[in-house]
Amino acid sequence: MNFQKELIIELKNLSFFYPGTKRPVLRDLDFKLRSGEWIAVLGANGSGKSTLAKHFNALLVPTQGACFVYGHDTKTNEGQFLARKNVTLVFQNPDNQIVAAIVEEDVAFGPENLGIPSVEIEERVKKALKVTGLYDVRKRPTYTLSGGQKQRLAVAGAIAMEPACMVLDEATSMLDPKGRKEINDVLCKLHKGGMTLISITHRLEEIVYCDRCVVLSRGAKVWEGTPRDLLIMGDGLLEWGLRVPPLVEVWGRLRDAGLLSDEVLPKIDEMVDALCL
Amino acid sequence: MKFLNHLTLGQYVPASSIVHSIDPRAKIISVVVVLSGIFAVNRIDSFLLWAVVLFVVVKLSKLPLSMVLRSARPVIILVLFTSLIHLFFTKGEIIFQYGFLTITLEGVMMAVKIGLRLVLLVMYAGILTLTTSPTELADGLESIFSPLKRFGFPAHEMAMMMTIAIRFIPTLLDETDRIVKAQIARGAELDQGGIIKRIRSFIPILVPLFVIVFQRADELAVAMESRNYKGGEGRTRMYPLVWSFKESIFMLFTILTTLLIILLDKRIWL
Repeated sequence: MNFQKELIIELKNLSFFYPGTKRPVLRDLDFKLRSGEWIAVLGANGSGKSTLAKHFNALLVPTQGACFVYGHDTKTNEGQFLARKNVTLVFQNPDNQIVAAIVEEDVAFGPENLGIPSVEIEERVKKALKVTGLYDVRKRPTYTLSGGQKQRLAVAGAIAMEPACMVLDEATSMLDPKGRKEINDVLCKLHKGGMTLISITHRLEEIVYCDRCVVLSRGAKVWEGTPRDLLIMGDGLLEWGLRVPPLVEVWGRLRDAGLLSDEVLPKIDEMVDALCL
Repeated sequence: MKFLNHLTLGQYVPASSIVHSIDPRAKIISVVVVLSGIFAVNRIDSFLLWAVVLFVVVKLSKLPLSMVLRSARPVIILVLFTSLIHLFFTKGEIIFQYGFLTITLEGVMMAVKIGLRLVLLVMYAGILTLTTSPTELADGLESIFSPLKRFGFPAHEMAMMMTIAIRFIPTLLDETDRIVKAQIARGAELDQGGIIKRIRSFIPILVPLFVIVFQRADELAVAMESRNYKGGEGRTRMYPLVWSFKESIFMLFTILTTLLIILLDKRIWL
């Protein structure tokens, strides 16, 4: 781990109860996120991953313990401001996060709320639309977009706020394979450009591009490490309610048969190269 | 095909035209002026003049004429109904009689005028919504009503509610369509039986629709909060409203045209 990099988010013994309930949704979480990292938070339904996502930008605050963004507790006004400004969320259903009826106006919504001068908003919107490949449809009504385009619009709206970190809460789960690929391509591009990302997902296919994985089970952190070490566990993942996707299973069998070396990850391109060259 | 269905609701059609580029405040006030102008005149030739003006504006806006004509479709029943009532129930010189039905010369004139007036009103309002994006429209209204903020009028909240309502029309139409199909697939008979039965059969559509609307509202509120929305205070705009020389000229034209048509209608010089 690179300790020179700036600490963006830090969780300390974070626990969370929904008001009036006795069972914690999140239990004693410790976790650090540094700038430039791409982290995957994995877990089955009900493992508390969406609740955790809402802590990152102070939509929820911990019942016990604390969540720090740039060293400020999100319970304080200062911390809440920093969290909202620096950490943006993209949610599961694109239809429920688009506010405006026109594509570019929706991208402008976040920066407008931040009170940024008009000229700069225009620049940011243009940049965000280009990164997400929506520049050609910027004047279109939002309801005419495809599912993948709508979710890319949500991503564009998040990056136009120029956050330090973007959190994607199951952002690909309502999309078809084409839309999922579109989003993943955009994320890879953003990550290369230095953006810090947190992907919250239950799909193991999506973690191969990440630097680090955190597995949640019943609200507690049960595992942390590299994607490769996680995927090697194979059927051991079932215990946490994670399903091993076919690609990873093929990858596991090929490794067992001694056809793939340890460095190869379950990415189609890498596997093809390793097997055919 | 769904796309076309939505368009007939009079929703914004982007294009780069002079009409599109005019400040929404100027357009809103102009529509109010023109609508009063249409109410103020009472001769068929005055209505025809208004139709000519409408035609010129449509040409300037680069919208297909058929699209503007279609914007009057939702009110066509209302127009026919009011025209027919005026046709049969206006007293005057009888030109046709069959049983208890009598048509008078005045009735015919009245029916034509009422029909033209209603259609023109809707089409002028239609041009406004076709050439102005919902956000612009909302910004314009917010700005026009902002002097009332001093008396506690929630101008910004009203504008934001309007934007979101317009944004969700197509989404909720799709949703309704899906629920209707789901209920039909479960054996619901929506177009059978008397009127009471038909109204009752819509309950299984309205209940899930309401549940979904509340869920969506909840998620949207969270999404807006996470995008730093804190109300109108301290917000900026990507395209701030600018009232330039162009808008002043446009307003002047609108007012002069309206006055001219009213004066011609009243035959002031006679």
